[in-house]
Amino acid sequence: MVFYQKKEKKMLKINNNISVIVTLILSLVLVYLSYFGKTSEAYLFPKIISLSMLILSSLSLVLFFLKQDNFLKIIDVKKLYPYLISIILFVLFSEKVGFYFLATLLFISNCFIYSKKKNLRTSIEIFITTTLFISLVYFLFSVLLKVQVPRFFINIF
Amino acid sequence: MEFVGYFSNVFTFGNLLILVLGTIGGLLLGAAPGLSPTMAVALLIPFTFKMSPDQGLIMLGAVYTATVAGGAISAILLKIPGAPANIATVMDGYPMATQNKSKEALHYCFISSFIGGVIGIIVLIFFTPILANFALKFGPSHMFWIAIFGVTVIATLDSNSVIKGLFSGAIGLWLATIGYDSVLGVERFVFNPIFSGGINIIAALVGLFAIPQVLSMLENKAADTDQFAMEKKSVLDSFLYNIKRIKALTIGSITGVIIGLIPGAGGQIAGLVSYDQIKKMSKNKDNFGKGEPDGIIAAESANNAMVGPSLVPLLTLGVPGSPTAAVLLGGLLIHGMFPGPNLFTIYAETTWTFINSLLVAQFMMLIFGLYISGLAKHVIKTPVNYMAVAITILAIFGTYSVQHNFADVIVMLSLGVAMYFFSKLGFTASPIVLGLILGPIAETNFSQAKIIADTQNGIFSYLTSGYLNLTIISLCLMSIIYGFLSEKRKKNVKN
Repeated sequence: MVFYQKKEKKMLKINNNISVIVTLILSLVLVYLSYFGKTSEAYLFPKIISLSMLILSSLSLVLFFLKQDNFLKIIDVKKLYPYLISIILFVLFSEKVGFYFLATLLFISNCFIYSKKKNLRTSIEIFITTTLFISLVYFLFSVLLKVQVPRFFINIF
Repeated sequence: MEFVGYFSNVFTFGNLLILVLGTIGGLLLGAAPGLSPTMAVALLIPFTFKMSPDQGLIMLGAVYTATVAGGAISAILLKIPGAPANIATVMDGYPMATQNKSKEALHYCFISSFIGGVIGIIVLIFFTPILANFALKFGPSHMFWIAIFGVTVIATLDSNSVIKGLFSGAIGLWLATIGYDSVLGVERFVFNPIFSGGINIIAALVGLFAIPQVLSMLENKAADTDQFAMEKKSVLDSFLYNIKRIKALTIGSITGVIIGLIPGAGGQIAGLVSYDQIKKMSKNKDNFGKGEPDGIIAAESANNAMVGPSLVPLLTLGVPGSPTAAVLLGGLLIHGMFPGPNLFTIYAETTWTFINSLLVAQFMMLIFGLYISGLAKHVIKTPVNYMAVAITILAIFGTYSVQHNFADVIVMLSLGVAMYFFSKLGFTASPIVLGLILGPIAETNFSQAKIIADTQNGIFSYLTSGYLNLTIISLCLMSIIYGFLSEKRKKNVKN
């Protein structure tokens, strides 16, 4: 039971309160961006859209108080950390280090972290799959489509 | 019979090769659990950017057709629908697999998909030019309302909550205003230079559909499932049996066609409605859910019969018949083709080649589907972590390849991660994408309507007068009311 509680603490719970608050804040931000200091006619359409969003979020607030809509969703954030961190690192460094090099690291690290079994056999499998997949990506994008991706760190990649 | 004149275009070496590759790739992608047709088409759009419009659309059409059918492979072998359209196939497909009749079930699935698909494409061929000619009557105010209608339809049908669906559509419409205003040339909401060109549609499409799916795959890794033996079955026997099940085929195909023509409905509804209908009309009601072939035949003929008609409102009015058709709209726009009468005049050759290729794709799907199902059982066993990372890398490279702009990759990943959390709040990607695609069309026509209206009785009067405006406004309202009613019905069933 304690373990269950501990485990649950690492999960992000989302219910209708959060949904209503998010829509309300988002629509208020967009109304602010569209209306304040914007005199040009070019802002007319965004003004109409943001106002419609505010009406819809107010309606969802009313419905929330009438308790017509209740749900609870759970996000297992712990499971997602490795993936999210790896794509942030990719965004930060790929232009300097090179797409192919970082894509290889991204593939190996994520496949290994999310593998059920972490032994030598799995490592070899991941290494072979990564080599084959990155070669396929290289063939598709660099050879076939002639896309010039950033490649700084190692010229081959 | 204009389409006949463009048939030979499909059979050039390049086009045929793309059609074959698209079909095989689509079948394998569809077989992989979690890879929906919408996501498969979204992931492929960057590749088609480098192709000619003909080849790009042939590729997307073949993948759309094949993924819907391919989704049945994992539905039958693993009890996991490859796509939402294959949910009904699980009900009798998997019980047949447990009786070692998976080969037979797969035969029924591909043969009925083929028959339904051909009927659907025939409807597309004959209905589209008629509706396109009607669209000639549309002015700026009508086009504005049509764009709004497209967003409301997807928002109310592809979402569990009408308000959230409409809110998502509005987010898409607002995001579409980032960048330069098309009429006045004023820069709007450009807080960082990366947004000066607005949000790239392909980056948004890939991000909104692929990344949330990847995160979902990693969060809920699929459990290992049993595998059953495959008894041999002759294709000819299966074909003859299928033809004998004329009732299931007819119900499935007609349901698929009707639901495909309704904007926003999609294959999931087609499959479930036809399954429900054939069950009600069958003499062997008790066999359903225990491996009744009629259940597979009706569901699969329906979800493939839906493909062609779902493109009728898309090609003529720009209103997609399914979420995948909404993504396909992005594919049309990146090649400079806007839905409407022009598709059948200026772009007639490309449009008819695309439509004809869909017909040929049905034959390809049948041939390769029957023989690839053995190979597909290995694909569906691909570990989720490998698949998730491979999709991410393809999404990054694909998005970058469109404009060689790293900002697009940042936008794609940011929108994708944001969409994952938004989906947990009950929002869906399709209305946002459609809002983003139809936003510029709605705004340009709104601005033009305003210029005209300023010389008359004002914008409100201009947008709400005339039978066409009132008809489209009524359709918008009806779709919202229908959305609320079906939401209420769903809640009642749940309770």
